[in-house]
Amino acid sequence: MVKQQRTGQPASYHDQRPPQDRQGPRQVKRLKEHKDRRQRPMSGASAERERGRPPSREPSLVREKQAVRDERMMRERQMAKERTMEQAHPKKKAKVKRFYDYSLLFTIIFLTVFGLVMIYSSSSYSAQLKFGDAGYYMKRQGLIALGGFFVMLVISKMDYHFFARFAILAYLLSYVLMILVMATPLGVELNGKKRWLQLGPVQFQPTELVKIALILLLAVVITQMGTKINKPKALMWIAVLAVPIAGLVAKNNLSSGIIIMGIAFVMCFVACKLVWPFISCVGLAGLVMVFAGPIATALEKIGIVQGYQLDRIHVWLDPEAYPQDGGYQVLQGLYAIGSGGLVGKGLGESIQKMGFVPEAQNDMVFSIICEELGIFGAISVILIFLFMIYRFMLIASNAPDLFGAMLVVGVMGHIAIQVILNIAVVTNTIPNTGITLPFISYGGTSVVFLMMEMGMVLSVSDQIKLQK
Amino acid sequence: MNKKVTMHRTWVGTAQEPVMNGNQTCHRGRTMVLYLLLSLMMIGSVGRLFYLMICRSQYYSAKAEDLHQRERAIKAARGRILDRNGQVLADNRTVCTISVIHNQIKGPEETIAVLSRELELSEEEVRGKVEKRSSREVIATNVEKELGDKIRGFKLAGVKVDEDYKRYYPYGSLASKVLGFTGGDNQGVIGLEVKYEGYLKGTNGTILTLADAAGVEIENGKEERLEPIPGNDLITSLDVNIQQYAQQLAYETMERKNAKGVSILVMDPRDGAILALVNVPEFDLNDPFTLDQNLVSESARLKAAQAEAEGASKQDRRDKMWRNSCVSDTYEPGSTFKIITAAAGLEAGVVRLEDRFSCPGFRIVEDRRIRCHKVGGHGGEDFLQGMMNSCNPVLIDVGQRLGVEGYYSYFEQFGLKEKTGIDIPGEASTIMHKKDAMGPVELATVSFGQSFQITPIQLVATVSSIINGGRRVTPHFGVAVESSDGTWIRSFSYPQGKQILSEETSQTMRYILEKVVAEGSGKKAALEGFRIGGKTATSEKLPRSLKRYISSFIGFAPADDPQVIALITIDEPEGIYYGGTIAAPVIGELFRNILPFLGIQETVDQGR
Repeated sequence: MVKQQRTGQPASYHDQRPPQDRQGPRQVKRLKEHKDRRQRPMSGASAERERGRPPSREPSLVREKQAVRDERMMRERQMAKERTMEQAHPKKKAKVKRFYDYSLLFTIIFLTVFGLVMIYSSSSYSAQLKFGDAGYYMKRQGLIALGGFFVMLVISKMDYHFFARFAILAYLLSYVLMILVMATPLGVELNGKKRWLQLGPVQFQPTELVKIALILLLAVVITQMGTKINKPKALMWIAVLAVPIAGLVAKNNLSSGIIIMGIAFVMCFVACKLVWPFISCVGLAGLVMVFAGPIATALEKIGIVQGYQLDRIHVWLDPEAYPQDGGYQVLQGLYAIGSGGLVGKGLGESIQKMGFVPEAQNDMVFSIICEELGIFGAISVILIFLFMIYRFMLIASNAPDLFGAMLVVGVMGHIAIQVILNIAVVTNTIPNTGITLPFISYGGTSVVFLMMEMGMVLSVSDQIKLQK
Repeated sequence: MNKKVTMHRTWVGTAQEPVMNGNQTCHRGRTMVLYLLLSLMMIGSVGRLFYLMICRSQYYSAKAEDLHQRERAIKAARGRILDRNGQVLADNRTVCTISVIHNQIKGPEETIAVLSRELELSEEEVRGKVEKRSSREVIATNVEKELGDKIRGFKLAGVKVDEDYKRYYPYGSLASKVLGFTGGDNQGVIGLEVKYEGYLKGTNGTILTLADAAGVEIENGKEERLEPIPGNDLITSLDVNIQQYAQQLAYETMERKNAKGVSILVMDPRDGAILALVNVPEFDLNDPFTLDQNLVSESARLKAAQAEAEGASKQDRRDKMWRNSCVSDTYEPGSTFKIITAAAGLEAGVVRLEDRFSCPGFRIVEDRRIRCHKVGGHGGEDFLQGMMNSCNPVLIDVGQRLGVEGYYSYFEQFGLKEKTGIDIPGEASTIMHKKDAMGPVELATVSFGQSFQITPIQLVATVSSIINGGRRVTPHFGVAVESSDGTWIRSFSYPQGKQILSEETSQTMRYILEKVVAEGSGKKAALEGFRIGGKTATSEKLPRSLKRYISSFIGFAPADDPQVIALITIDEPEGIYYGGTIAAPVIGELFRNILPFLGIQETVDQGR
């Protein structure tokens, strides 16, 4: 192993670390997990051998271009290093560090705890009335979040490549569960929506699983496609994977269907070099938004859009014209947001949560944040999400490989889309559809799967080497 | 960029071939673009939030506030009504409103039992209200304060005892038809209470409490309190002493003459300030809904019994009871109206005091023979004597001299066709012939006060104008309103009306009317030591065949400089019904008592 030289760094660069650590940046943190060495991308041949695959199956092309590849790796690693380390201290001894993204971890902790506070604040009144326990929702959410947090920690310490094995399984399971929800008595209907699956004592929303499964699957598929992703045909294939399941989800939960499509879109956008499909998609979406009213009316006439969906569009365009019917929730949310003003009424002082905003701890929790903490509080929350997405971007950019990057990009898309859509719904920027605010809104399934996604992101970050 | 391809050995177990990876630079670029786009969208939502929370904040706050606040009114104390000396005629008393709040009630059975027992309400009624799911249900209003305190003492959860004001009239029935009373919401129902509602009412305060979506008040919610502004006190021209005395005289007369009602109106003829307005039977202002109050005469009781027997609705009978007949009812003024005819004749110059007339006991006008009240006739007399005798033919002649045109124009000039503008509601209009329909016969009857109707207040106002130097006055009660703390005061001004008569004619009329009392038909109103003017009247009520009368007398003092004018009308007296016999002495008696009180000195020694 002569990789030290290839890094182009002085030998002292790694000299504080055990010899094995000096194998090179990409391998550094895999030493504990020997089995993972096979995944070293730059030493494909040996990895194949370690996996016990017959060398004969390895195409000769690889061996022939080994030298070229090594050279490219070297260059690239150097670039990566230049990005990640301060070059101002050439004399200082640099170390390879694991880049476990503590900033992200603490952001997650903060958001979850803040979410618990807001759930308590927004639900205590109704919980007291309904369950005689003001902290009912908060305690439930807190317990689930705590469990989810440990799951996240465990996952974050696993090699994310391991999850790829479950990609297809999870994807197929998504179909199964969705069909179970829709077609069997296991599906539980709540508030007129059949979104819940009852498995013994556990009740959960399979749509949350669909999101994570799709992120996994698309990451695997995109990685496998390699440069083929840059062809429109590849995008078609991804669409074939994403659209049916998204449609299935959208049947009972339009917003989740939109999010799933959004995740697929974002992942393709990052992976694919083509520009026009994305520009045209965004343009089309924009047009639909602008002419939503006439389009919906036209579609309703031909019978594609249901009457109640058309009503939603009308409510969106003028919520105050429908104060009792469809516009109630939106209007109450707007009252809450508007009455927040600059600094809000103070934590716990919301009035709109007292039965005015339905299920204030759920989709509409952001309106209560606005009411209680004012625009300062609301912007702070948005900034925290922005910071979280910034961390995702950093991790994705520095991910050890495409698979890692795509995983993080998927999660990034998921969180960002959900935050943006939630705020847009609450502020009546888009028609009302049930979207929760990640980490803050009440919802057990959501928080568990969010934590799992965070675990995967942290796991990717864990495998970034940092030189200092 | 495509050339910078990095080869990665794929790790996916199923893939057997190494795959060309998309290059990292592209991913980074795209990830960055994605991040920027997402950031942009989030910043966009911040913009939207800014719009909603800053620009539209007031709008939505107001809407939300509307939604959250439950209003509880704090009643404003109604302004008092005072007489001209500051005696309180209408005041407020603290009473309680008992209400229940459904979801705060702990022991419903006990609550029902206590409330129905203490408030003397039926158990079902209380039960219905207690068990009704509403945010607030009023059980009883206008509960005496002691009872309210007692109920509060039971400390029943969910039972609210709110203090409240109720109108209270210390003098009971005194000037009831003038003052009026208030209804359940403390609003004026009749009389001055209605007319000056705007000043008296005050502005209710509110307690704004926050309530949740179900309308339940939020405990410890911030409570906004808008203090009520008490109503303004109304200072009237009434004088309690004169009113009381006049009322006493009226009741005595009513009882003595078995009349159905007696009205006495005492006014200052100089400016129209009404000192007393009595319409007996009066009713108790603290209990205005009880029928048939103060029926001191048999005939009044009979009338009431008859109304009940005829099945008149209670409301109709109450309306009758509350009716201020001096203002709202018209009557044929009879001989008192000769003052107007005489004034018109003198003003027009068609008659002088010393003009001679002859009364054979009747006068034939066209085809009608119109009788004088003295069947044998007064014989030859001059105009002054004709007035003193209240001789119909004399006044018929004066009327004929004026002619329909002339008489009608004076009728209008004196303001008789208009309302007086008195400041209590319900003033009736004059009922008068149309000018075109007036022939000599109608003119003749109008000349001595028959075949048309005016209100007593109109008669007093017009006579006042004739004797006060010729200026029309506006009869009124309201003098000023004053804020409860005395910091603000507004005096009402009643501008001097137009000159309807020359000062000279006015002086002549004072002389004539003084003579009427001193030596003529009104001499029973004469009062030793005072110069009093006046005119009697005995009007037939319609239909004339029933021989029912209204006896009246209008008198003023001092005759040379009138400071007080009084009119008494006795409705359907029994026995002797001549105004000069039964009405004039009452005014004499009234003046005997109130003139010294009003500071009018005995002047008899100096003049005559």
